[in-house]
Amino acid sequence: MSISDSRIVESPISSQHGPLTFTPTDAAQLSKSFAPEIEPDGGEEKKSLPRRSSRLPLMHPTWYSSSINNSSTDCLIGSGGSVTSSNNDSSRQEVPTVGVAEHDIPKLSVMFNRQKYYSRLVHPSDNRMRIPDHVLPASLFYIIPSNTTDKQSSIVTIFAIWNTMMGTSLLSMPWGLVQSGFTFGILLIVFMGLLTLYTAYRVLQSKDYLDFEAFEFSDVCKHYLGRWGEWVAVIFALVTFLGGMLVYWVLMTNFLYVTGVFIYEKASPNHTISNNTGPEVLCPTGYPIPENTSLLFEELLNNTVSNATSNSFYNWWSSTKTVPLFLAILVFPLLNFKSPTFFTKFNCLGTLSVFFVITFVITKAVNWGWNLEFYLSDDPNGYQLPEFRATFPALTGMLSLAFFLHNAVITIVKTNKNPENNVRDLSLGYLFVALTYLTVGVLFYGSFPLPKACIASNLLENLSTHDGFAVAARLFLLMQMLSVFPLLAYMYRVNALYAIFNSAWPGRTHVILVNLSIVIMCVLVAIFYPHIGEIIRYSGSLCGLVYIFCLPSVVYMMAKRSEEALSPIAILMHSTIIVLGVLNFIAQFIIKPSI
Amino acid sequence: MKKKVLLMGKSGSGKTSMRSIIFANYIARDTRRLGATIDVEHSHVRFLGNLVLNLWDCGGQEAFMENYFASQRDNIFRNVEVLIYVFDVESRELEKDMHYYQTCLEAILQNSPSAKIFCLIHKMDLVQEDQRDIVFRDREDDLVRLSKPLQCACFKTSIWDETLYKAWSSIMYQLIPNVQELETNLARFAEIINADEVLLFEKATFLVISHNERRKHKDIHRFEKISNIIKQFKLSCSKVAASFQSMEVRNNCFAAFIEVFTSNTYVMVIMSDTSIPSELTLINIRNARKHFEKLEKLDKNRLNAGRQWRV
Repeated sequence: MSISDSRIVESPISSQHGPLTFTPTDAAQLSKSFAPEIEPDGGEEKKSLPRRSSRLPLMHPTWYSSSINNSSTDCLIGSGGSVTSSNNDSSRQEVPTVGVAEHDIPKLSVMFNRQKYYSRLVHPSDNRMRIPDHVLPASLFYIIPSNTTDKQSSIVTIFAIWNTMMGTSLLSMPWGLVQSGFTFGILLIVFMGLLTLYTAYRVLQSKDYLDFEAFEFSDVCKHYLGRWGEWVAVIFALVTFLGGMLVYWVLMTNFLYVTGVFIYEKASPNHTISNNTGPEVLCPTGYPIPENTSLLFEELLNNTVSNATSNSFYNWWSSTKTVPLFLAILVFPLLNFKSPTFFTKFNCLGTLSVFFVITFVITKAVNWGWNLEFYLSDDPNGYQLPEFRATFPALTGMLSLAFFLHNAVITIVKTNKNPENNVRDLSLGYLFVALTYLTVGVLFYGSFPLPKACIASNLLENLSTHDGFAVAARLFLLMQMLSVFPLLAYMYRVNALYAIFNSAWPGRTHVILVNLSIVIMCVLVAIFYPHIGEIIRYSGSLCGLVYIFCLPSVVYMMAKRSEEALSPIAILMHSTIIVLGVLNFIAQFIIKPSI
Repeated sequence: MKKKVLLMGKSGSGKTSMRSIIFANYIARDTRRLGATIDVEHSHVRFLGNLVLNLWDCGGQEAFMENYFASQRDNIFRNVEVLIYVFDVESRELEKDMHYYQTCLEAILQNSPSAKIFCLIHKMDLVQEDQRDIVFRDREDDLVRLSKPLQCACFKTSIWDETLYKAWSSIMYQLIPNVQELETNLARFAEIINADEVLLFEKATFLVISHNERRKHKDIHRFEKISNIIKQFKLSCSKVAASFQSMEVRNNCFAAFIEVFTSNTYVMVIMSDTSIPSELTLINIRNARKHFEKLEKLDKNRLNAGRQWRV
């Protein structure tokens, strides 16, 4: 046990126990009582509840205080919302008790009084009147989170990076390729991957310039940019979480709706579709289908129409009207837990669902065959496969969220066994992520049998409600999202409440209010604007602007400037990055991609 | 003739520290002696008017004990008012400790049979908290049994909690003959001057002899704390060869007055009505002083008369 701080809490107890004034000599004498040296805290009067000198980072272990008794899993949330638990299971991430336990205060106060008196009775060098260790209350000591002895091998780190970044943007990749044109889209994915890798590397490196241990990037920002920087980091982190939550909600609504329809149609006796195998592929965007499509896909319009019958079920179970509310009723209770550790146990569902989606896409691609050349012929209708489209910022906006790791990269990479491989592992992680996105995007896009403009921003919408694979995928993803959504809500709530009230749990009413506001926002968006592509690109470009483009560059330039090592090329490069981020953000409002 | 308070116990049982803490004596740097005390430590601490504290190490080399102790026995044990015997709870030689204790008791029985006997089981902080009561009860039973026909009162003490202070306060309380009367008079005094609390301290040790609380206070440790603070102040005063006489502490919530009261006591008066001027309270205390001194004189005569008859 190492002793780091011993701080004494004052009022309101002081009125009962007398003021605890701590003069420099006392501090010096008290410090000699302990065998391991503590640093007496200057000589300031202990007036307020001690705060850690730097504001707690966005994902600080103390927020799991009441929940984590012996479990010591750290929980991280990446963008788009898949959850990983870092594998330092044996790290003693105990809660630092900030302050002294209430029942110990009278004891401490009189102990201190005694010590002051006894120390006057002997020569200062005499050891006999020192407080023995066994007499001090345990709450004076706190266990400093140690540098974890359990480090992860590179493979685990790479996997953690991949797992954290893999989010629901996976489902929107084909749509993104549609918006940007095929070839250009691929190039963009590669380019954004490299750019975000570079800035993630800068984020990782930024803590090396500091002499204190920064927990996360927001600590670094606070150091360089002051309170203002910290607030920026907090607000934009909140925006990230909110964006993730909105996307999740819309997706969950969609999945729930479709699953409900599927169950209903399986169960209801009067089936509108006689043959079980309806059209496999749908075009929910409403893009007109050219006449020379294969007969296999003709009934799709019928299928979309049948759903709009004034069946009473469909009045009750409308994806834009009622399902969000049902979902709210289902999810709201889950949000009110004090600790999210229960949900972190479902974190493996995320990985499984990603693999499921990949397998599923590959299977579909094999089924449909390669349809890329389908419209490359000089078709007078102009269904030419664009290589480049002016709406490409939709893809870059999306990719900003897809490659977002920056608020968690320090924590994930910290536990790498061989830190000299950090850059290599980070790059490999990003490479695998990019490959995954490319695979899903290219395969689905390439093999999609209908006009590419039909591809919806949630690729599962393109599949019929009866497709077995799709049904399973939706169910799977629904369950996974139900387990991740509370975590996202928790991160959002904790950050928001901590920023405003300086406490992660200021009271049940506050928490319920925050959760209500989250749910109301999500429901409204699901009812009136359920276009995940849009949500992803707006929130992605906004957070990307701050976290991916601006903050790392600014922090790097400031660090270099303080070292007097700032070269003009570096200024140019990083300013360009910042400008790109701003342009990316502005462009989202200008373009009008096909929804 | 000065009456003695004997503070006895094995070497290393904590007597010197105890004395130093209770009487605010500075401990010289190296009091670790290699053998038994050869001579009794006379301290010039007088308290309760006519009592003098003598500190004696019991134990050490067998032969030495037998010889010296035997020859000086009568000298040491004559005119003893109080015997305070200190046992170290961690001692591994229980048999020996009891043997020495019994030797002392025999001497007391011969020379000062009316002495009051107190046994302190010291260094209790070294025992685990849940074990303390059990260990203490055990020792207490043994000691009471061994002390017969004399009566002894046992306390468990440690310098690191309030037990030392409480034990010595109890001892002091039992040494003051007219304490009930003092308390009733103190209560009346507190009523009259409308004080929140009035305390009576013994002069040398600032142990609280009696107190009257008219307004509840949450801090149960306040007596010890105040004693410690005043003793520290006394130490500082003695460094400049001044002697502590009185103190007034005042802020917008309360006013506290510490004044010499009788020849053996100090009084502390806490007033929460700060609109009352200090002078008024001081006049009140001065007047009460005369009354209490009369009480004490009355009783001293009673006491001395009593003592004469007892021998």
